[in-house]
Amino acid sequence: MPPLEELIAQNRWLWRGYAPPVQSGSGLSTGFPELNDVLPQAGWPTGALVDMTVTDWGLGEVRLLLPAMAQVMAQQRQVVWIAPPYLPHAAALSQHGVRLELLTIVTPGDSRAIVWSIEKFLRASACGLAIAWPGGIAPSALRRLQLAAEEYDTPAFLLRRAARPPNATPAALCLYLQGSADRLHITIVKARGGCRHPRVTLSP
Amino acid sequence: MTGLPATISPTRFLERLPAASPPSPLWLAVGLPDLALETSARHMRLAAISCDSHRGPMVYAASRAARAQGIRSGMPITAAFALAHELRVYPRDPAAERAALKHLAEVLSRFSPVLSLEEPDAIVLEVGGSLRLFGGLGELARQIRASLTAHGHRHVMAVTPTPGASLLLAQNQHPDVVTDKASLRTALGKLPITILPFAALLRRRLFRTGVRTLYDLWRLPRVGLARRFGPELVAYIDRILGQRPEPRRHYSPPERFAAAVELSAETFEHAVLVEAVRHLLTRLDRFLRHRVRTLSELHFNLFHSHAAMTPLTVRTRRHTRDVARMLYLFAERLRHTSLPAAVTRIGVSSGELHASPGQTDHLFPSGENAGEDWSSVLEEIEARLGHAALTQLYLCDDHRPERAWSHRPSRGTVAGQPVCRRPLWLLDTPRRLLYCQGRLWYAGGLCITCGPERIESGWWDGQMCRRDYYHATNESGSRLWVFHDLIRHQWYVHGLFG
Repeated sequence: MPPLEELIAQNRWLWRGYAPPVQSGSGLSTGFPELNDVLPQAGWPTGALVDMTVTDWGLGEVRLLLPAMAQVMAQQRQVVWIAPPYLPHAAALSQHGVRLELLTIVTPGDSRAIVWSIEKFLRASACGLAIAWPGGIAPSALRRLQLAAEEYDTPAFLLRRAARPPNATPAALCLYLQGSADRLHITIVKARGGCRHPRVTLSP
Repeated sequence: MTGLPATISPTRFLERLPAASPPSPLWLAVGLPDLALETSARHMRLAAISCDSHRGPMVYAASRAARAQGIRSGMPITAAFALAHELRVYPRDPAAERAALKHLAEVLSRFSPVLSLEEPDAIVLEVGGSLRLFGGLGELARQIRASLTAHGHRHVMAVTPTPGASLLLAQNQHPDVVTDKASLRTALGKLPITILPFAALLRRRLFRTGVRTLYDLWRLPRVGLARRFGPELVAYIDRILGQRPEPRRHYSPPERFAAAVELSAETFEHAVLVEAVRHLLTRLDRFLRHRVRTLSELHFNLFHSHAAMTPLTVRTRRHTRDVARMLYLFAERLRHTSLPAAVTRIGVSSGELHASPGQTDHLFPSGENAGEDWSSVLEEIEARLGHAALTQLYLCDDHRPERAWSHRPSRGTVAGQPVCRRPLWLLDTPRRLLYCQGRLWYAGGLCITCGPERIESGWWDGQMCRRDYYHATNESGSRLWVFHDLIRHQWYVHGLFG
């Protein structure tokens, strides 16, 4: 094996940008086969930060995450929502099969407290998944969260509203979501491990 | 044991033991001669405690250095100052003494369940029943002595078969051990008559008849004594000699923990406050351990000299006895509380106490105890962000969407789910929509894609609603939940299909 190949095989920090990725199948299924097909781990990365930018709330970004939540809850693990932008509607959640007793909602006051509580939850072994709506967040805080998610092997999703995706992010997976009528267009801005197609369209 | 054959059966062995007889009562009295000094003037070398009498302020107690200069209790304060002009005098604080005595009773309750406070400065405990557990009287006394010394109290201990005799010896600084009633007379005989807890008049009359010690009293005939000095004297003698029962009021410790600590100086320093609370919580730990109790709520009060006190409450999700955790949560709460002024005093009181079920630990740590971990994370979040920051959702039995959920579990059962799809997000309050040119506007024009669903409810509680709900999409692709209010004839947006 050439030294470069060897290095890429051994080190998960190195990957080929444009080669078709090797699907390891170790991810948390997204519940959408089209999306599973293009993601490097055949699903959401399990111990990583997923940075999602939406052009507006209400495109279907939460519905995109509900199947993953349901899987985590089926293993009796807790799901946390941190600083949601609106009131989560209990009736709708239970219509989607969310077990309300395993869902905890935290509303910290400021962005420092948001980052602190995400990290706190990632450290908890009972916490299976954390979703946060942090607003503005410093790149150093993002890096911290990515490291925490990796160390404690818990997926964390950050949802932010912006017109454009971020230029650079320490997150392992960065998605940009746009909506039209009843469709959700997902652009994969960055995926550690590479991805097949940078664009997917779903109707969640 | 040497006489027993090697193969004796356990039951036979038990038969050979003498029938268990109830242990004879043995009373241990602890006298604290310097309690007043220790509570009011602990770190002062040359100090005296004053109390008021009909002749003006008097010395109630004097420190060792003061006694060396000739200061005695019962002396007028002015005379004491004449002997030592640099003497520091503190007024007596009976409430603090009582609190200190109760605290000691708390400490000693580990040695015996039968315990009584003898105000102002003694405690009596029945130790006959505890001898076996602690391995004999010597070992028990050693442990009691060690815990009293650890709390910095000078003490005198006496053990006799009657509480009265033990008290008499201990309060008058005659440490002694008498284990059988027969030798009680001899042991008490040498005590002077002046120390008996009688009125001064009676003591003087006894003294005038030539009675100097208790031994003189033993020699006088009972009938004559009763006739000349009243039946109380005879009754008292009978009680201390154990010829007449002497019921005592048992001290039953309070079922709620409350303690306070006065800081030596006003402070804002968190480290000092946390250290003070650590001391309080050590007492809480002992309190909980002795009662086999747990708690889930602790109230702290931080007192300031010129501002209203600051209350802090620490809650745990489970009933616990883990004071280290409580201390951590307190420190965390303190860090996020702004104090209006420097703290002078800290009080702590427990919430309701709960019986502590035994705990089983896992042999191998597994995912099963992840719940513990989870509740402690929630506690830490609550301690830092406040109790309101952490919520859960519950369904409520109501058709109005804003009342179909709650942060608290609802009473009664939830009958069923709405048939139509509900949005994942609700707005706090519905927001008005613009309706013009036959179109709805909300950050761009809206297209209605689905509906209507009529929700008409609440006529019984004054919050009547009659609404037609529709699904709508805006230009950026967001799906909204809008309704037409049929009472006010207005359009509103109520939620988003996130």
